[in-house]
Amino acid sequence: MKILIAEDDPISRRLLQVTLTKWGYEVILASDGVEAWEFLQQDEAPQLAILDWMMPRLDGPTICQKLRERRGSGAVYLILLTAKSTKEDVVQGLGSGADDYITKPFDRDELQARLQVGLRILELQQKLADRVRELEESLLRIKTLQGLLPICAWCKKIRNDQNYWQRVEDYIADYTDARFSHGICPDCLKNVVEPAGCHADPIV
Amino acid sequence: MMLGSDLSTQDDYSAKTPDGSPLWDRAGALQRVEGDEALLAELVQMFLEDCPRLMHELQESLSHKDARQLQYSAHALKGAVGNFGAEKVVASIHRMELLGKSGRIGEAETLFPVLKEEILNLQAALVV
Repeated sequence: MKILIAEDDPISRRLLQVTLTKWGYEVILASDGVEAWEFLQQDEAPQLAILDWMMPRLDGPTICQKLRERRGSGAVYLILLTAKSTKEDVVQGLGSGADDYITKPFDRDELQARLQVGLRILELQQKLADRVRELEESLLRIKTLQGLLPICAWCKKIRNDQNYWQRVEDYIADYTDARFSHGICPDCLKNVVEPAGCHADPIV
Repeated sequence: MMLGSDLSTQDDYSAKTPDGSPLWDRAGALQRVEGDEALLAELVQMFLEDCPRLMHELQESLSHKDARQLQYSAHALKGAVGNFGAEKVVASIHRMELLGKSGRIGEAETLFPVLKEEILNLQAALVV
């Protein structure tokens, strides 16, 4: 899993880089906000990002806000890294669009646990997105007939929207994916076909 | 080595705050690097190399009476120092940051020599 670390303090950045690499992440480093923003714009951008709150050029909360405003942005889990920990800061950070926050200097176990939460959320979002796509594809395949159809009480032709009377099987074939195979039912065999002196196998 | 001659004369109490507690939390810092002594040494070296720049920026913001830059420089320094669990020094830098935030440059100028000495002591303590 790719993870972006955006942190202007080289020591914290190095510490995070070593720690996350040990945990098996593919680490991408940014040393300021603009660089981080550019990484997050790329194709195959990391889905997990740890963003320092206060960075030159573009701060963490602004990046969160810009990402959340962007339409059609893929799922990305954003963790703010901050020396701040007052209630107002937490509210402001999460309000900007961050999913979580960690205070500096970070606690390893806490960081690991919070990243696990992120991975779980991303996995859920991915499953949900896959399911929605499957359903949309299924919907495209299904044609439905609904509403009131005018049908002739005698010959069973149906009047279509162009005011044209169609045979019922033509109408259904036009408006659905159903197809017909033709045969003769036992009642018609007995009442119509045999009295006329013809032979046919009934559909059983 | 970049440390000045004034530091080389300091004895081991330089590693302590005036009340006798350690100036930085070596055990905590080591725990954060999973006991990796080499990585800790690397981080200390990075700090020693970066610290003069951070202090210079802080001093520049004071001489330019640039409160916003003071806040930013202090915040950057705080982040770096925070990696070593140097809580007393972090507290001083945090005061400096708040003075920048509220535009009280005069008070920040008074605090600066105190902070500078704390930083020098911390640098000395880190290389022990």
